[in-house]
Amino acid sequence: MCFSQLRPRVRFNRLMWRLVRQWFDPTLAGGTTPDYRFSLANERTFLAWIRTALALVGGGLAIAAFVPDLRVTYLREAIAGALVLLGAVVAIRAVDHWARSERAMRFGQPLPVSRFPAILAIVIAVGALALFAAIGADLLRAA
Amino acid sequence: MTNHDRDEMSTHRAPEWPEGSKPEGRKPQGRQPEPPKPDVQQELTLLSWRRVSLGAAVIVLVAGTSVLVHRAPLPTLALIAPAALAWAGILFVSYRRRAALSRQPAAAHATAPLLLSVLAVILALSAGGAALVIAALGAR
Repeated sequence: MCFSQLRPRVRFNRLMWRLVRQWFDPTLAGGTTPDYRFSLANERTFLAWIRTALALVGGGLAIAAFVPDLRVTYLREAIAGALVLLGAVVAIRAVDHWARSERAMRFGQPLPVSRFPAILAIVIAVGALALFAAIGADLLRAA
Repeated sequence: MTNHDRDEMSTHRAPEWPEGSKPEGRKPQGRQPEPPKPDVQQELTLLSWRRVSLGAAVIVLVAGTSVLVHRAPLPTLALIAPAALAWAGILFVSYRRRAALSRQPAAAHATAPLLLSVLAVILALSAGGAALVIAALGAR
């Protein structure tokens, strides 16, 4: 592999490493310390996202444990697995958003805008509709 | 919210008036809500950390109960073990963060949020894996 091909990868690795370091400690980015009330509000938002992640995991567990076998093979397991994975993604996204918001506050920039809440809402709605349809079809067949 | 307040919010700084420079002519229209006191913010944050610990406890309880009820085999218990460890880790991180916040409201965040996220992911994957195994066993 020649150097010109290697260079973007090295740059990408450095970028990722810097991102992870900022996840550990956003003060590494520099800037000035913001009013701690804003930092605490940012931390509470992060914790709310973590609770959302835990709720998604709990929902996945509940579906796996309590929803009866559906006629569509592995639909129950698929929905439970998707919810649990979504919970993991939300947890990672929470710390990323927290670090980016903290960084923006330190530099006096506008807070980062994210499409993630809309995407999450759509995914949850689609999952709920799928589960509703599967349970409804099951009940109709049984009747 | 006035334009001035928006400007103050946009820079994420607490509004401060230098000594003797507070404008007298500007009367507030209607009843203006007072900014929350710092100790309220601190209490809310402590409460949020407690809620997260409780949420993790509920998940471990649900996963553990399903393992016991379905008399799951040993490999499932091996999947639950990291979930229990992650839960213990979440309790520990939460306790440390709450202790730091109680001592000093403006305590630095250090690594608490990242650790919490990692532990939540471990909890999710471990408990989720166990639940899926149990569901697959139940389907047989």
